[in-house]
Amino acid sequence: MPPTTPSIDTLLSHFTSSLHLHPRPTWLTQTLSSQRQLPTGPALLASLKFRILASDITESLQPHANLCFPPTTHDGDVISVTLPGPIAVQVVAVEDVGVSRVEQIDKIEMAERGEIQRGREVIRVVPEIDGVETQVEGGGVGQGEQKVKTGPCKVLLEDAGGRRVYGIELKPVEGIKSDMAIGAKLVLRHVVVTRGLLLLTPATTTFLGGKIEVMNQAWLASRKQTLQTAIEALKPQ
Amino acid sequence: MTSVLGHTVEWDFDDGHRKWSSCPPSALFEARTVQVISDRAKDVAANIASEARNAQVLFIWTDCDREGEYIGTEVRDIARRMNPNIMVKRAKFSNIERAHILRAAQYPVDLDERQAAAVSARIELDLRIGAVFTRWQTYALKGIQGLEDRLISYGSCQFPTLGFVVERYNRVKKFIPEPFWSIKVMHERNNINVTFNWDRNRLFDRMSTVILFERCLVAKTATVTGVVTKPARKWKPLPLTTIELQKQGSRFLGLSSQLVMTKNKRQAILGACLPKGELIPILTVPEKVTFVTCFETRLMNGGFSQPRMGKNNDKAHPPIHPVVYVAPNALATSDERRVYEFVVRRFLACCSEDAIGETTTINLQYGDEGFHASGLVVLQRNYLEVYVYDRWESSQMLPQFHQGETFVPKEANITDGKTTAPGYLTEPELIALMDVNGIGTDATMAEHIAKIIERLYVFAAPRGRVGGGEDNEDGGAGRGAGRGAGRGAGRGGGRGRGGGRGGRGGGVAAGGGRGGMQEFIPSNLGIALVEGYDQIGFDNSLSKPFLRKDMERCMKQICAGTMTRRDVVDASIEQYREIFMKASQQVNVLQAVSSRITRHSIWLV
Repeated sequence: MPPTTPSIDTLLSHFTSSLHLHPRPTWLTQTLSSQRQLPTGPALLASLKFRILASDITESLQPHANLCFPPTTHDGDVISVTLPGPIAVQVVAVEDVGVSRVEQIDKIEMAERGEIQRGREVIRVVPEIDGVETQVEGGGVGQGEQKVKTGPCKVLLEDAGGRRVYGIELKPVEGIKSDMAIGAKLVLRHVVVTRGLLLLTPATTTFLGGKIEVMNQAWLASRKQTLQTAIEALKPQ
Repeated sequence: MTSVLGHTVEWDFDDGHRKWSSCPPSALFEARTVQVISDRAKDVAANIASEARNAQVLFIWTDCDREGEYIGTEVRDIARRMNPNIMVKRAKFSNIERAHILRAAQYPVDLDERQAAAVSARIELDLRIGAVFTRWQTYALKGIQGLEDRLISYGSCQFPTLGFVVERYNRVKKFIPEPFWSIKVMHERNNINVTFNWDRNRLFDRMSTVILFERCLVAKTATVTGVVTKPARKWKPLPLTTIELQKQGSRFLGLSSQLVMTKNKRQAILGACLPKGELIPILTVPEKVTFVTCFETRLMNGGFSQPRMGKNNDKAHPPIHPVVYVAPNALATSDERRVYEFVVRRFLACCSEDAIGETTTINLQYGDEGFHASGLVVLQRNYLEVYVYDRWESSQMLPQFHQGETFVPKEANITDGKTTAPGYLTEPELIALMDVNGIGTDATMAEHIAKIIERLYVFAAPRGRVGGGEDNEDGGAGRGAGRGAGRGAGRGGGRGRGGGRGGRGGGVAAGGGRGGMQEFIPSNLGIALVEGYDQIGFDNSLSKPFLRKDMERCMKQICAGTMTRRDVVDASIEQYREIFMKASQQVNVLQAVSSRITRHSIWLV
């Protein structure tokens, strides 16, 4: 007898217990039925996890009040409150606030030109046929690639209900970095909110990964212009 | 025994192509070249020929580097023309100590044809490519007012050099200050005020800073999480290379690299500088150099320490060091005296001990945030005694703090500041960029720089206070370092903030008198050339270092025997031919950009 697809309830409880994600049953059914050939067992779970992480959670996850930011999260008068969660969120914007915008633009432009800077040496990066990037001759300067200073990053997080709240890395959180994918999913538990800002730490923030392709593309396409506009706005009149 | 003066033979095109009007520029990619004895070297060649007439063996003692190998072949060819049977050997040597020289004389070797071939490939490529683009762009820009009769030279080193200057200029010009915020914690103990700096240094987001600051205040007390005292040392300088001499000459002595090079050469004649020899661990410094006498005595009496090994070894030259005592008044100008003094001081510093000190760092946890204060005590100045160009000073004493103790800080503030523009490219920075990107050699960099100045592509001006450091936050040890080596150096280097503590930060330069340093500002013409070529949109713009780097890589392959001279020349010519085709097709782009940028003036920025 061929293995049957687990019931929706089984799947829901699986994602709840393993990842603290609560997919909408309708979304799950639809996703299952849209697949021509369903894998089975662990492969099915892996495939569904991938689809959840690649989805827009405002469509795929249940927007229940206890799974979302409370409506008062933005209250700037609140000095400190802990949100028990777990709250699943997706990253809709990220910025390294430890680095000036000019430096951020420099980095983007060098990447556009296919260059990396190592010390003072400009190195051209040539993509090889197999997609692995190699460096053209190091010139014998063995100082290694410059350590990229990151963080803290400020992120704009969106819950299943579409509410968006800013968060900052109080301590470095794995997976959060200035070039992370837009739409990446995080789960927050017992996270502290102060003056409407989430304080993210490794203890309260679990990085699940994933991205929303469309949003990520749009983000990458407009990033430089956004930064440029922000800088222009600072121009002394 | 006789000598030559560098190159004896010059490359040029044959009679059918030498004149500008004789052919279209692109014909020079394959025009026949001729090698002729240069006018300047006619006597030298005649001398070699007459010496060779009755000789059996020719011993060549040119520098043991690529250029020296090639010059050796020039000498050989001249000698053989007169005396086809002469045997040719070359001495392999890298210093002029007696034993080394005797050994080199006893065991001569053959000339390295590959190295000579690499140089001859480079000479041919430089000639062809330089001539093609120089003629082409000079014609192309003739129509622009002010350029009617001007030679607009192109050189495969000149243009990347210009490119570095223009790139920095553009960064300075389009720079807009950005605000940032920081948190500082102050505390007074034993009548000493200590400032603790934020571990995050600064954030470009006001809201986040204010919120994090508030959490500090809410926490009320701060906890000392660590008090660490560590030995610190300031490393003595490395033995002096030519490039380093040019950079430091510019930085500490306020002399242009070209000037330093001529001083350097002059002193080579005087015997003061540039001997052959790995740094000799026996002090041969003459006793009479007044400013070093005491110090030197100390070295003799056990203070000697083996110089550090540098990264560079050209296997042809020893580090620059003094070989004889030169009385100050034996040198004609004060510039020469200062260069000599620098060389001597540097040499003595190399043979001394590192400066020794102790840093204490106090870490503080206040709210969720970490802060730190550190202090330096210099215990033994050692090499600093003689090497007056470096600065390393004890900082204010820190009062006692104990790990685990808590206290209520006297004061905590949010501070703000703005980023400030990098400065225009200074000469040491430009030399460093050229060095690391393989543009020119230590012997030619100064010439390339002088050339783009001569062509009026760039102007050299004494350093003004165009831009401050990386940031203009009050005080802070990071200031000097941030400027010297960090941001100003172009997005790389040590992002020197805070590097003042004990490291080899460039910050020391600040005290060393940057007053005389030159900085480079491109002329409108210089900007137009770079932007024009950039807009044509090659895969490899002529203003970038990559093409030249490629060429250098090929030279190395010729030396290693993995490519032949012909292969390299043909491949490079093809590469540049393609670039030339594209440039010719889009000549209007170069012209349009040039007339736009130079519409008010060719020169003035």
